[in-house]
Amino acid sequence: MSSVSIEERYSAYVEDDRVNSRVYTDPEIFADEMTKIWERGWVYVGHDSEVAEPGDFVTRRIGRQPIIMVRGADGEVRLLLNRCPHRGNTMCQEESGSGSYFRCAYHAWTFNTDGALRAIPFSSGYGPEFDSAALAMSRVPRIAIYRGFVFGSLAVDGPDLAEHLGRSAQYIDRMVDLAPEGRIDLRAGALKTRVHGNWKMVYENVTDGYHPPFLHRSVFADSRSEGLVIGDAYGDNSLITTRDLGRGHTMLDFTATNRVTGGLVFNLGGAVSAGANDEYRQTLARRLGVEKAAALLADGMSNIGIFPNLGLLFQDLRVIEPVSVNETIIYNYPALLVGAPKEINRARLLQEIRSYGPAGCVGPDDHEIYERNQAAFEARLNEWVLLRRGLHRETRTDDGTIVGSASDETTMRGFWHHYRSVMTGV
Amino acid sequence: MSSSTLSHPRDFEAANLEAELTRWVQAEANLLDERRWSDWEALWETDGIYWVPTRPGEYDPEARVSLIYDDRDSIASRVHRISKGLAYAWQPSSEAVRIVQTSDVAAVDGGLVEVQSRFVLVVSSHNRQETFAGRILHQFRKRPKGWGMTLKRVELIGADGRFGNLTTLL
Repeated sequence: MSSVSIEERYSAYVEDDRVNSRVYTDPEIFADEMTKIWERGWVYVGHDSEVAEPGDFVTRRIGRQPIIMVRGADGEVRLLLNRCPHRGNTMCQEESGSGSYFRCAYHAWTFNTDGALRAIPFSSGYGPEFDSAALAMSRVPRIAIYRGFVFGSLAVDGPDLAEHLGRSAQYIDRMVDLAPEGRIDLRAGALKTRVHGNWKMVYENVTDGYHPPFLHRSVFADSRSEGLVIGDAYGDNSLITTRDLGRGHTMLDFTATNRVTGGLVFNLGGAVSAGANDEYRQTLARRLGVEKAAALLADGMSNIGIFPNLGLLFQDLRVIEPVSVNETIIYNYPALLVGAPKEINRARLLQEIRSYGPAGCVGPDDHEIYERNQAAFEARLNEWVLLRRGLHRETRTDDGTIVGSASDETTMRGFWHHYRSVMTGV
Repeated sequence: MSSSTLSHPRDFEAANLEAELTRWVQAEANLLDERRWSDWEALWETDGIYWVPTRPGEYDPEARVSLIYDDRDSIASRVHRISKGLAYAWQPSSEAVRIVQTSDVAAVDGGLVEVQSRFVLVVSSHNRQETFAGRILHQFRKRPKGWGMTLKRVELIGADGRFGNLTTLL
């Protein structure tokens, strides 16, 4: 408990170039975030490929609230509260499944896949005034789907999804347009990791360009050399930039280096044959035209943070689910490209599982650091986390994007600036 | 298979094979417990696959996520990462002990022998203790001396759940 009011805490704890570590440890702040960020704003819930057929459903959370994403018999994707309106039981226990109705285990209230009440046992017990139409499963007030990405908002009013996504939407486009059919598929499933750390560290890390050569030295040094091999990829002469895209969205922009290196810094998924690459290039060109396909492939993917819970990192779609102030679940999905040669998607899948999840060679080092951070955030002698790197050298583009060097903390400043504005309502 | 009612020379051969491969599986577990990483790596054949699926039963590991799906090169990277102390997720080094119980040994096509086991693994790392359990399917190929691993598939209990740190070798 703190004697400082919750509103006063944000201006005291979140400064322009540093934050107080209590933002990662204060349970009252966590509860306040659940309301102001996760229940008022737009949150990524899932992808429409995960509910490809009518009756398919997956269970998710928006903040701490249990949600079912379901494709109804009419083909429409809906977000329902995973809660029986009768006595409050969770309707679906599985992470995914398929069926033609939802039935509560407790008293067998049964609902259509659109959430409407279909039947209850012994309905005469409710008398003649009984209005079954009023007893549907609750729907998430707003749902919006952008290129297959399903977002939900528990608030009836607020900015629409396009306004929320702002300049980040073009990078969803970039990931999806790399698929010859213009669609990604998440049905390869997710790697799931539970970390004892606050969710905000996980989001910040998506576009942290300072840590890779150091924390991930085991990957950078995987030339089997004895010592560290820290290239210039993220150094002072790097072409990589950090970008504050506004509204809390951030980018570690690899576009300029991708154009030079032709893509990945390292490839753990195994080599892709020239034949498969040619076929991929050609199928992509059939939809986009030769010139646009070539430009897209040259630009490649970058790391994108979409506030508050989504990361796009080359082949990886990362979802952040807060559990409590010091516990978070991370989901890593390989985004497979619909219409691409099998070899390309194989390489994406293998790169994903060899990098991320609880047994990869990249993710576990990040997870370790979140837990060490969380432990050190209990320190009171010095409570400050410094975010001033590159403050003196960042620039602003015409559209308002703030641009820093590869290892600058421009992206964290962008996140915290938006965070403070959401939490204080200013 | 039972060794109490041997009546044919082929049964003796099978019993010998079972005993030999049971010892071999124990020896592999001992190498991991004793953290003899390069000796463990040397058990692998060049076409070896180290696979930890996210669900029991067969599925296409190139179309669906697994916790681990390593070819020989990736096994080498994994061992390198652990043995050189480069992985922060592996510091300070974990201590581990395994109990492995072999239940079946059978020759399969291609001159390979399959061994099925159950295991319990206790890992202590960073003053935290974790228990993993499950079933292992080994495939071995005869070498001039001993046996080489072509497959180690580890079906973890709760494989589709959320794990913390799975940097340890299973």
